Amino acid sequence: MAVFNLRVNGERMSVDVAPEMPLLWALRDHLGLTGTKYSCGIAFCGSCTVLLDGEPIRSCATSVESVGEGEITTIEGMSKDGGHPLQRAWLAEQTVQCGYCHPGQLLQAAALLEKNPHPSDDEIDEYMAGNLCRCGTYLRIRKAIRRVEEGRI
Amino acid sequence: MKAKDLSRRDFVKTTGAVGAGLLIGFHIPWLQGCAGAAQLPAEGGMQPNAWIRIDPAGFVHVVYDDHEMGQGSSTGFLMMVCDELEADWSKIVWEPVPTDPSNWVRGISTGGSTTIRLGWAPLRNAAAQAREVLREAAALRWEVDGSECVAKEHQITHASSGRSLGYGELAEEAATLHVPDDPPKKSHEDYWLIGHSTDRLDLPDKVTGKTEFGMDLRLPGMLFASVSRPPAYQGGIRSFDDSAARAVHGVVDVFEVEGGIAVVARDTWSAFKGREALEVDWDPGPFADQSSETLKARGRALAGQPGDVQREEGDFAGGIAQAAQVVDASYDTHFLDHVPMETLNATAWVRGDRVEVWCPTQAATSGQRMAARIAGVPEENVVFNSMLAGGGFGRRLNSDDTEFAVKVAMKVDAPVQVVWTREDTFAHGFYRPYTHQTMRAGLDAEGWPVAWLHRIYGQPPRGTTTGGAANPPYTLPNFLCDNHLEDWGIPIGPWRSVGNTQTCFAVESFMDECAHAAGVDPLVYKRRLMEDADPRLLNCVSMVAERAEWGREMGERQGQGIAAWTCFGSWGAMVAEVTVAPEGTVKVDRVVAVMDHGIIVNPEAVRSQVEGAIVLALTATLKAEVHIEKGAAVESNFHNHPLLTIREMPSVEVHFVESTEVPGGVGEPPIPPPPPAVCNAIFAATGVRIRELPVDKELLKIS
Repeated sequence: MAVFNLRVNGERMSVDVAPEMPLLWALRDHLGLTGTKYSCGIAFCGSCTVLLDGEPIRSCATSVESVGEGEITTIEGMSKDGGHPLQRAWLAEQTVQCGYCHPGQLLQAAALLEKNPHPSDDEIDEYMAGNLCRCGTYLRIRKAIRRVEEGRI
Repeated sequence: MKAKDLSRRDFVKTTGAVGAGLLIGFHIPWLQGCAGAAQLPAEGGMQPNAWIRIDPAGFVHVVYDDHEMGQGSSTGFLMMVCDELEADWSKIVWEPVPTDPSNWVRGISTGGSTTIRLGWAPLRNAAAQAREVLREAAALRWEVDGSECVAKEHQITHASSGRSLGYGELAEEAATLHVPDDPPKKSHEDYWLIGHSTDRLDLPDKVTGKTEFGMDLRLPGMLFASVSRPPAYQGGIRSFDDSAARAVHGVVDVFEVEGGIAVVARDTWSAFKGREALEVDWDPGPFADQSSETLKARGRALAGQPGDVQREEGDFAGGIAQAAQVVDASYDTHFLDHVPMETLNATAWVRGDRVEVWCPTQAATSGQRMAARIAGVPEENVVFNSMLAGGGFGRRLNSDDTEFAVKVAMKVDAPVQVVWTREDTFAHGFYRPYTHQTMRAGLDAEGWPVAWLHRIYGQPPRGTTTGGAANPPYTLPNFLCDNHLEDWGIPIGPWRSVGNTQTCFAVESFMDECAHAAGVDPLVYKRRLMEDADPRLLNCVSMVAERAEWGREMGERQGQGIAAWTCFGSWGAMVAEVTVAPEGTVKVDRVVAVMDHGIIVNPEAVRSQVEGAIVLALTATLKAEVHIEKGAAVESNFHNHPLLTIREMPSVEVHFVESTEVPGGVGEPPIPPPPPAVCNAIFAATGVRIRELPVDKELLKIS
């Protein structure tokens, strides 16, 4: 056990956990940030995606001790009151069904547009292919990203 | 008033003043035999199981009992109330599912694509009742004739005097008036919300992470648990050593419950770690020799023997004897897991003879019963909180999530959340059943069917395995559908579209084979045979052929395939276009769908359901399978059970038939057509017939 002072959504948050505990569970079970989801536990589905210094990571396979001073952004910190252009575009396209994978989808998409503000469809697909959605909302995810890319939000 | 305060014991009258405005109670029928629906005694009769309440502030509270798991029906349900009531959409309040199902008139269970279609008539009637008594109340207050008063935009207006009163202001008075049984309902052309795409109410919180799914529940002092269960079905525990598990930091207890070993910890991860540290000698159970291969062999062995007749019309043997040509083929579909993204979970808190459960479920009634049975308390002692679910697809109709949560909670002095790993969720599924389907058709000299056999080998219950086979949408003389159903001890259950997904694959593929045997274009062949049998499906087929430009020129190793099906009160036809790579990889380029759902309440939400159904069905066509070996599931996580990704998405075009017929089901009807449409397209592209799912690309390689 060790105390880690994490930087999460612009705040300092401290957890006293085993160093190898995946960030996912520190967020969900110790910091009350349940917007980050567990689904596979082996970094194969993307539901647990958060940003670490702007890079999408799978928090189910990232230990707390490895995060260090990095700035973590979870869905709760993506915007104040859902105002991020991607969140608004997600609503404009009525993208979501059950919604479970979408915190991860949104953060992955945010990282994409940060790096590449005008991705092609192939580039969108390449970047988003690790984020699975069982409800099958992929086409709307693509459309919502396109909406932001084109400034239609 | 919270939804849980409303029950038939509290409200013997269907309407009346409760000191809180106008209350209209009504009855939503319950689809008997709906998969997973719990049976309730008939005493409920026509007593109310849903309410519209207009409070003095003018808010319209709608209490009903269906679960939201992403299908969007909650929004559609409220749209029907709002339109018929002439209410303000911003004042409609969606109440939670009741927490005491034992005190409810119908079994609370969401499945069978029923929410909108069963709600359609009673819901609009109740909303019209409310509207009419509000109008009457205004007329009385103004001492004018009711016919001079108009309900619109959440108020009653008297046009000639220019007076108006809001619904909230009239609610108390309206509650004292006689409610007409069958008030006039709006006509189709007057709907301003029904049929107009409306943003789903559940989505804003889903894009900010605020939505609380079952696994997101956090209670003061709660603990977390993981349960290790025998890998083989009906296996057991011979012995176990928990010393290493207990040494894991954060683990607070380890104990055996019926059917597993529970590790309880301060957080989920510690529970998982402790559970991994268990050393268990498992009893392989009675089905240790069972495998997918043994089932396939058994299915083949029985293919030539008559089974239990499911439906027979005419004389199949006589028809075959007269046929100019006989076509034979058999098809296999494998076990499939539902794979909801939120793994199964439930939280339970047992205090003396009181139990509280929080579960993302499709079946609150059976969940409550399960909790009561496990804990040995009366059902009414169980408060059952239905949480939003991260996908269901039929998996959450089984109450094994609640079962294990209560088993563990009974031995813990705190609320405890039992979280299934993805591996647990695969290993202990209630799968879409395996089937071996034998098809035989006799064709006359022109190639038209004069005899038809559909024989299904699978597992009981019959509906789950064979649904749809007995009534294909074609005119088929001398028809015989029979079954060999054997219990293999592998848990099966309703999987989105229940039976139809397997049987449509066989029927629609085989019909394509018959068309080719007859030398007739499959579209022409199918159209002619459904002309009399299913005119609404014929219309979908004709439309989809046009929209997809059926018969258009395709490139090398490219092809089009068509499939159509009728189920859950809706009709659907799809054309798939594929490209098959030289190494056998199938790329689905385009899917064009035409759906006839009758009246569509919320078009954009329905479109989204159809798109998503196509994705789920393509995963079943190209990727997914659960193998059984040694009586246990082989697939365990997404590394060996992939799902379709965004990269593999075809272009998808969804068209709706304009209709004023009553609404049909939405969630399930678009599931059956894609697999046969894709396989028929593969045949058109390569000449290779796919008769087993998922598609084996080895068969399609150019050698």
